[in-house]
Amino acid sequence: MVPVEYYLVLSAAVFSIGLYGLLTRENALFFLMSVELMLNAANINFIAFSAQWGNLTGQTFSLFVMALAAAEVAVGIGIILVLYRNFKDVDVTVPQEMRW
Amino acid sequence: MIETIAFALFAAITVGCAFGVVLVEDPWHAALFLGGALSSLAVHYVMLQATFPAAMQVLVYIGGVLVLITFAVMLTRTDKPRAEVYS
Amino acid sequence: MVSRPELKEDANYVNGLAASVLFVVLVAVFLTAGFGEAAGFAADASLVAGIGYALMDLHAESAVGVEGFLATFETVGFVLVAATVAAVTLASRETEGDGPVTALTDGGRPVDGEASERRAESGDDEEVES
Repeated sequence: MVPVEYYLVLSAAVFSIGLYGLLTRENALFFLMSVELMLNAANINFIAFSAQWGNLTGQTFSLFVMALAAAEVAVGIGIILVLYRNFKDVDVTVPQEMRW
Repeated sequence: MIETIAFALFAAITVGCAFGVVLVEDPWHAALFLGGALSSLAVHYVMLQATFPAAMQVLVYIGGVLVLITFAVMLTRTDKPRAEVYS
Repeated sequence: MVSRPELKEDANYVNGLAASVLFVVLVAVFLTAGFGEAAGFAADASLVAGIGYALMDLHAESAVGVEGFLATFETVGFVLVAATVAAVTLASRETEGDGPVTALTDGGRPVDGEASERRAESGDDEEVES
């Protein structure tokens, strides 16, 4: 069995890449995909430690993370479509003022 | 030993596809790279004896989330020059 | 149109450095922690059944160690319903009127007055005014 440290390093790499995308990009679609990468890094940790301790709690909780990621993407898609409808663009630096 | 080799192979695919997601210019290509990263993560889950989360990864992420992101990519095409759009 | 993936050229080195520093710190912590030998699951353990018992708070029935997650399960169900309703609300084209739904779904449309004048002067605002 592969040591758990390897999976932790993989998860740290995926999380850092997602963080880089979140910091660098200005397109809302890339924001969404970077957040997906970071949530998946958390999932790797859950499942790696589930196998490490022989306990199913991590696997069960990773399912909740997946459900929340799906919900987050559904709302994110709605927000991106509204952004595109009003600004003809998905650049997150364009909308700077609230309505009131 | 063979497990370590398999881990290294799929970890390389995961990290490479993750880099592709954040470094590529076109959001559609980034969505495809995200599909590659999520698929290789499902392989990691199987190697960790987590078969049910692996199945859910394929069904929920690749079948649901990635399709939604593809929708968004295709619904938000702009006709501005590429250099201005994909920043 | 099928096209080759092209890398974005103007990489941001400060952000890259920040992410790299985070990665190095995380790896340093992980590799010095020492987690010991992996316990793993028994080869014939019924893991999917264990997950199912955990979701229904029947974890005493499970052969593999797990905790109960019934409350979380129900909460996630409500969150998913809320997300579905929110997505439909956001996607519906309701941009007239003064209700709260309109305020959410018009997405920060430029209002009349100073702000839209400023944007019109800078020239990046063609058809969003209404």
